[in-house]
Amino acid sequence: MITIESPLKGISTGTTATVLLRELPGLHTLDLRVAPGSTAATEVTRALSMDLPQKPGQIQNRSTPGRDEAYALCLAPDWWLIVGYPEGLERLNSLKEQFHFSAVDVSGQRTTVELEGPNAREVLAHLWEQDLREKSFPVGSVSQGLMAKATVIVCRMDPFRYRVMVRSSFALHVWQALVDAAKEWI
Amino acid sequence: MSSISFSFDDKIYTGNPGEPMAAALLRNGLLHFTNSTYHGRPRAVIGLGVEEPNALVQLLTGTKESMRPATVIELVEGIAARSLTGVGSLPEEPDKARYDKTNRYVDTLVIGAGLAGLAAADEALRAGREVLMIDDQPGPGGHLRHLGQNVPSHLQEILKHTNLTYLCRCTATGLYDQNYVVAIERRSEHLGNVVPANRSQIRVWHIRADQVVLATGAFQRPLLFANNDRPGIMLSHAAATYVAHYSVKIFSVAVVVTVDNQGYRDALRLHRAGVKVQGVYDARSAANGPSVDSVKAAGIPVHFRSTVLDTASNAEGILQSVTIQNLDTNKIFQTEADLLAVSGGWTPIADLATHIGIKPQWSEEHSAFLVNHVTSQLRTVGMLAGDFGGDDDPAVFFGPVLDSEQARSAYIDLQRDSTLHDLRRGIGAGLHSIEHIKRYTTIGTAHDQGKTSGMLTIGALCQLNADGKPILSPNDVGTLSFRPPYVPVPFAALAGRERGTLSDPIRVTALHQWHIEHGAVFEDVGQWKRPWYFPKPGEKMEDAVIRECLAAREGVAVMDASTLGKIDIQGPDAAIFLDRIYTNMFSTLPEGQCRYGLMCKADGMVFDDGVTTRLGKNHFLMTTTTGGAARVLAWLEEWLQTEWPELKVYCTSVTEHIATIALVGPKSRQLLQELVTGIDLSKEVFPFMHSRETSIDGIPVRIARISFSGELAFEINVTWSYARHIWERLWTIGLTYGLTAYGTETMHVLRAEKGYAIIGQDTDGTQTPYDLNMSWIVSKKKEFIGKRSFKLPWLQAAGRQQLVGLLPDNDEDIIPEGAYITSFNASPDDSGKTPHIGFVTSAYYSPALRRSFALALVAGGLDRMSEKVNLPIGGKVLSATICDAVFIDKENLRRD
Amino acid sequence: MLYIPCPHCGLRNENEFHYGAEAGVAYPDPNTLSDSEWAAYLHIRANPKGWHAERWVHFAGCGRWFNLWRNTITHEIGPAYLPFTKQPKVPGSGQEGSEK
Repeated sequence: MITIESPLKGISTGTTATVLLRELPGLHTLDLRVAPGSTAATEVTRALSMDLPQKPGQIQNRSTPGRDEAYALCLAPDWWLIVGYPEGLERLNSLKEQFHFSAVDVSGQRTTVELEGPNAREVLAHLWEQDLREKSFPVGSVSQGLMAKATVIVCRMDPFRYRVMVRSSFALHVWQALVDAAKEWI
Repeated sequence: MSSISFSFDDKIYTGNPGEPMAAALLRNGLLHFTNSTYHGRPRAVIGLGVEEPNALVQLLTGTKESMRPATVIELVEGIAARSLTGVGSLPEEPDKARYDKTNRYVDTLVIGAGLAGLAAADEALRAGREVLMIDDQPGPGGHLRHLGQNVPSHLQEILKHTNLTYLCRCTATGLYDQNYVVAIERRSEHLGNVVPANRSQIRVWHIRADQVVLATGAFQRPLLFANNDRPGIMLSHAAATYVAHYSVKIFSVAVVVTVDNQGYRDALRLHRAGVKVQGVYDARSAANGPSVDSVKAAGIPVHFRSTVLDTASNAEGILQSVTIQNLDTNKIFQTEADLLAVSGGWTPIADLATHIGIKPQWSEEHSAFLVNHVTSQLRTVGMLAGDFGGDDDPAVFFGPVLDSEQARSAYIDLQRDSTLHDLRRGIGAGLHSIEHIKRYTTIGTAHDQGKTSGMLTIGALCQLNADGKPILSPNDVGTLSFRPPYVPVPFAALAGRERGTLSDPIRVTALHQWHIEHGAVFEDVGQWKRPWYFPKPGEKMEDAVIRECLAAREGVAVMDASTLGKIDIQGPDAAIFLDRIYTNMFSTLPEGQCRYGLMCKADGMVFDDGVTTRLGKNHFLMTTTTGGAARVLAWLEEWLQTEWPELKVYCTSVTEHIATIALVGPKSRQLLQELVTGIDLSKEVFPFMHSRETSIDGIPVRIARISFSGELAFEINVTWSYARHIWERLWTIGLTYGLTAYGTETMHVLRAEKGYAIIGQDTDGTQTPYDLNMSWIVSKKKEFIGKRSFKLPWLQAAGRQQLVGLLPDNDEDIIPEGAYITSFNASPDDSGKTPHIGFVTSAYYSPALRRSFALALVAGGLDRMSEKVNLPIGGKVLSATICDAVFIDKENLRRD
Repeated sequence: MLYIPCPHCGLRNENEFHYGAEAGVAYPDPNTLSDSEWAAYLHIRANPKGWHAERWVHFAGCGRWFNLWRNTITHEIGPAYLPFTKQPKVPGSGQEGSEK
């Protein structure tokens, strides 16, 4: 039998009455680089049948808003992560010869920790130096930065639900920091 | 309110919960609080808050924090403390309390919840802004609290506003560029024994505000006169507050000396609380206002142009009488008193404003340094901005003229025991600047950072620096530079949750758990935890490393090499790009093959190295050193973004996505072939430095014939999720081969035996490829970063440090890494020092050579083969011989 | 903790950025320079008192390089601009900047 390992082995703690922290293991992630506005970008979008958010900091869901099975995060003008879309890479293969872009499976590069509950924002604020106010970080926002000295990506999925994407090697460290930050609530 | 008991200097006292410890001790009759640090003179409480220079305590309960003023400690049941003479001590045991930190963004941050702060918060709230108001007191109201008065009801209302966050017991300790404020909130001490689980002791707030309002208020300042430090001498506002608000009944006769109307207000409070006020002595020639009228109406004698010159004490050192001087006639007289309440004017708290470089301006009208600052980002209000309220009409007066004897007991800084005499000596020594005087006299350098002594120093300098001319203005003397933190902050609070394992990130690989389960001893490599060696029961490190080395050279061994940096590089110009980055050629590398590459900075110094594989025409996988992963990616991006935007290349980090397993040793091929059925691993079909994609148990893997040991070796790349599975499969099959897991120490021995330099260990950023004896890797056919620098004469000069091998003459000697190398039989020069010619960068025992060996950087080393050198180590001098850096298999016969 | 406007991500704390020295120093053709000119390119940079156009990279965020006006005396932060775009005016001076 083949065991698929995740950096945090699917751990969880807390409750949604205050804050629930849990690893979402094995989210497929595609790292996409393509020049915005280029023919390549148009072709990539068409092949994926998915609109790419145009501004760094935005999240675009592939299907209906509110479903987060497949979504794209814009991290820089020419840089996206596409989460939960394993067939995406294959759909792009035929474009490789003709267009200049880069699509790399980076599923093992990071894992995802979800924080859910009314105190989720407060827990995040303990470790996250960026502005989490509604006007600065509404639902559908994504941002990269430092959490407990590790580079992470924070996504706001719902009003009280956030995802922290952390490099696999740093996952245990960031998890421990999050649990420490949540101690007054869990 | 029920009273509680607490302990101070091993005696039990009672007090009211929440009141300052200083108030309870005074009410209990404890006036002589401690003795001064250097002069051993009796001292008492003089102030009301963080400005207190005398009444320092060490807590004996809770966190056992030291050097806390008793004026700011809120009483809780069972709290215990002892007095300090200005020298604290750290508790022996670790602080078990939790400390945390949070970040906050707000529209408006109001610092200070006195009347001015509350009004500013009200105004911001009315403008629809979100407001954070912080204040170091247990409740709002500022000095109203000292008067026992409530906050006016319309301001009380704003505390319920949903857009307001009000934090009490929260002190802003620093104001930084772009409205960044750091504040510490004491969250638990006042709760005593009923602290909720996991509540932090102190929370550090990092606040960024669009607008900061400084409503920090003011401290009352003392006056300078002879014997101004006796117990019984207090700031008048503190004296009146202890007597009138905290029911301290230990004083019977008071003398009030003032330069402003505050002295009158406090005289009245003392009088109404039952203290006989012998008189108010005012340095001004006249004073008007309701408070003056009320004092006169109460029958308290008022004397203008009079001040205090000196005091006398009883046998216990407690104030007994006050010497008053008429400033016009210079006549003096003595009057009995057990309380001398002094009011030297107000000193607005300008610390935070000065942190960002704002210079306070002297206001003659206020007799104070003010900060009047109004921009859309930063605004000062209340006393700091000159709004003193009331009927004040203060005078610029810094105390009477004192003779040299009187100056010896005229204390400027009570905590440092620094006197006017000391200050005069500083002037006598030729110092004039207040900054120099501060460092000469140590005034303002204690825990209170000159909160009461600063203005006394400025006043004295105004007189002393005048040099016979009219007294200087304080504007000419200037203020001291205040630096954060505004109040002492425990290191534990600054550390926050970054203690123990959270103090720095710990990075682990996909195989970390396996390493733990198999007894690995770990080594820190940057932030990574890497297995150092895998001791068997009873084995010492040397034994384990010898066993691991021999397994790799004679059998088969396996190592987790996942920490190597990995960068996916794609695009039509990828090959051209790598040609510019590496010193050697990559555009000629055929698909499916690997090449070792070296990269330099523009100055020609070696920067990183690693093996890069060409996966396709426009697709490469670069590996970097473990420590260089982030640096190299940043380096590539910098060139692509800022110099060569025309190059069509994208770089993506896949360091964690791909785990790397190195299988090393003569039996590695046979072992791996058992697992890999899809491809033939024989040397004819799968040559050295080739790469193949295949699968193991249906899991896609990439296998490359790369060797960092000189042995036959394979590197297996697999994604993080399947790394453990592949490793376990190798391990199970490997049982019959004697497969041995090895760590970084063995890796180092193996690579050093082959003379492979580790960038960062055998180099220090000042070596060119030539210095590493790697001229073979420098292409003559193309341009690359650093190439131009190799032509610089100083990089071609003789005597550069070059990488060589070193064989100790005694083959048991393991030379410590970093050891200096001198010429053989070198003797000290004229200065008594023996010049060194280099140093040892790597040194190990080689099981294959059965002797010790080393790598070293030696001046002109490549031309010194077979030369004998010395290594002075401790009291001993070892000798060694310089040799080629490749110790094993110079012909590269073993890797196939 | 400076508050730096990343042209792509907006205002962020200084610790998300790395400093990259003076802006507008293009990589020269190495082979046309004398040894001392090359050494000057390698090691000599302007270090003005006051407004300074600098390179910064948002390493913890979008990873992009950009240029930024910063006052080395007051720590004021001026406008940020992308590489290869026109340099905005020196804050408060009306003086035109150069291109790179």
